[in-house]
Amino acid sequence: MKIKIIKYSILLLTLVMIITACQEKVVNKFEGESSLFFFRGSSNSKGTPQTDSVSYSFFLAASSTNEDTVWVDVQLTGVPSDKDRALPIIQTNTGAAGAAVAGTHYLAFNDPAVSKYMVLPANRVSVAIPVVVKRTSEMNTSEFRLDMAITTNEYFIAGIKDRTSYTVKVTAMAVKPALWDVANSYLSIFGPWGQAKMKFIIDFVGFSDFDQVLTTDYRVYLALKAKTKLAEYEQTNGPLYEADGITRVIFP
Amino acid sequence: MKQIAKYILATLLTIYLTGCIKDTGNYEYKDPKEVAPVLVSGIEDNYSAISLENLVIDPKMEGDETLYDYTWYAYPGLIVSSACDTLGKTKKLDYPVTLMSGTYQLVFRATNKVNKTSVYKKSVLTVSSIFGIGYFINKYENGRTDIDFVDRYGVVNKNILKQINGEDLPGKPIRSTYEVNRYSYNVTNPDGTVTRIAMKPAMMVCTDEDMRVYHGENLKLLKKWDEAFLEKPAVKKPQGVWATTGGFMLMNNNSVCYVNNNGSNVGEFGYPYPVNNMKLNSTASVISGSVMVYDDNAGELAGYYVQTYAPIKNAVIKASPLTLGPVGEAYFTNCDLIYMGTQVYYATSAGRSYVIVKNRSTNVYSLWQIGTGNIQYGYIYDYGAGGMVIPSNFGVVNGKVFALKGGAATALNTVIYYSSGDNKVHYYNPANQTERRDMITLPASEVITHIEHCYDFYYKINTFTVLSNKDGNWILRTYDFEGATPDVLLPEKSTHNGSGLAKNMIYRHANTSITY
Repeated sequence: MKIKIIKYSILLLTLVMIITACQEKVVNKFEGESSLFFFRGSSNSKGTPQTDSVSYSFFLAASSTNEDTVWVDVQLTGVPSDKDRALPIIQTNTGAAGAAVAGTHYLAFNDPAVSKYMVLPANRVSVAIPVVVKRTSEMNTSEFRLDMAITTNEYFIAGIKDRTSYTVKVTAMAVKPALWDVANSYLSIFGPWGQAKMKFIIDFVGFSDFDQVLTTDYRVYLALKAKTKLAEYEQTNGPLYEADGITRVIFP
Repeated sequence: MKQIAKYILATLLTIYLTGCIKDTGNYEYKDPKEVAPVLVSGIEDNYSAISLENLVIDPKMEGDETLYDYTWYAYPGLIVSSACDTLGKTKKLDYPVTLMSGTYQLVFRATNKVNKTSVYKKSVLTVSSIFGIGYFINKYENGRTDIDFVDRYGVVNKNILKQINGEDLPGKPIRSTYEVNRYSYNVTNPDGTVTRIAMKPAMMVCTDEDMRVYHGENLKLLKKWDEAFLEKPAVKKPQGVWATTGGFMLMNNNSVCYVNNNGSNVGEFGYPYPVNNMKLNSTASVISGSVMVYDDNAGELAGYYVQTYAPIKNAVIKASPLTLGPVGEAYFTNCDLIYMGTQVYYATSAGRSYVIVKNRSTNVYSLWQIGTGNIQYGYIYDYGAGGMVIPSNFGVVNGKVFALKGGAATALNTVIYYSSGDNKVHYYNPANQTERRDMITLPASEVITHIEHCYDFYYKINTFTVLSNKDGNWILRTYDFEGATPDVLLPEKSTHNGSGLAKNMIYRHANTSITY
């Protein structure tokens, strides 16, 4: 009797396994709403670092340059759409002290030259939007700040909490490049950053692409050239100082 | 259930009872000599092969040679754990040599197909390119510089730079230098992508108008002057090029710059190092990655190290680096340089640098034995000569060309060979303050332009060479040494001739790592 019970139990178990083994697996698909966030990383779609802000300076541009474009990557969370969707991006610091003024310091997002870019194209998961900055005489002594934020509209809900804002700072003064203090980078070649130092590097060392990640050889090359050129400069002009008149420009 | 238990018990009992039966076996032990393959002949202890030429070895086995599986393989030097390259799977090796230049252990193995016993024979295989062994004569002819190459068979291959590349160099020769694995460069592939070729042998040839970089194995041109810099110098006035263990150093227009061997370099010299009002003599002594130069303005030594971006002038009195004497004062200054050279030892290891100077005020000549390799630590110091005064009636103070006898870095263990721009070679022995005059006398019409002790302690290279000019042609003579003495055996062992005026030469043997 016991043997029979064991036999039937095994048979039953096998039958259950056969029946359940071939059940179709149901895959849960993402059906949530779409949201947006600003890309963060060492290299965006234009090959430049993009953290939580960027400083643009006409200091590095030719003196005839009165307008330039900073590209900012925006990325999608959710599924691509088969149609273009307007990006809900606004300035959040309008009217605040030191705030960039639309039309004066940058082209407004609804300006026809810009607005055509303020969409996430169909079937895309990211897009680079232009922030067209404009040079003004005030920028020789001041910096203006454009705080941007991703809001919501009929296509998008609020995105990743700490990545929905981004700041573009624009000036004509020298600004410290984002990579200056990175390990084995500009700090090791040129020492602590300073405006006069940076201008010297641009004018006398002939180097201005501070977004570049440098190889060892090129760092040595720049370091030697900077010291040599500064020595030559000082022989003719005497020591070079930062605007405070105290901090002497030297290279390590 | 009971029946199942019975079966299990019976099986266990059977295993238990039979498990301890003594295994008498049916083996028949034989002497290995009776069953292992026997190699009769045909494999030497040493082979010297040239890259891309076929290495053929046909050993003879005892008995039926079809009974065995054969394997030929090689591994570098004496490092048994290194990866082996299989060179052949047949009894007769017929291998187009593609191993990089160097010394290998070559192993032949024959394995009996039935009983799997093997016989091994190990030989030393030295691989080099056709340019891996021989003398490279830097010469001047028809207003141009080229190299005549005396190969291992004594054949003079004329104008090899022009023969291989279609072009020689403008200007008069200054010097050339070779390093076995410190040069990297980019090549552009057919699809436009760029590949970095890392750590290859290179030879650099410098004239008073140009400097070019050639591949060390085939002497194909890698870079001309315009391509050899991160930023081309404003003034082109080459003074010499030297190989170091860190890369290469070029002296141009009274400054030095380096190709630094690191992860990203693609064979481009960097920005000139500061010269600090020095006037650089066109000579240098290299040990390891450090280079000693001479400041003709101050009349004193200076040093450069590739990763120290300023000249070293700190000098100390005779001391070990752990018990340094006063730093910051040159132990001599205001002197004219008579001679500076590096004592060759083996591979990249050099003995000492020797310097002879003449005091501009007192006209006293003195000898210094410098630990050039310590320049990388920020100082130059004397090891033992301590400014030994050389009697002014010694011919060495009027020498025009010099050579050091190779050896290790022990106290004054060299002699300084010299010639005064005539047809004779003498030597000065600082250990006992004597001179040996007229060690070699060439025919009166010849003018000696270069002498060198071609030496490697480990690879037993030990030849003295004299390069001379006569009537617009060069003559190279080689000599063996008289035992362990500094004297050579006369007459010369070999003589080679070529057209053009020789300036100097470098010698490479199959395991040369660097030339000085």
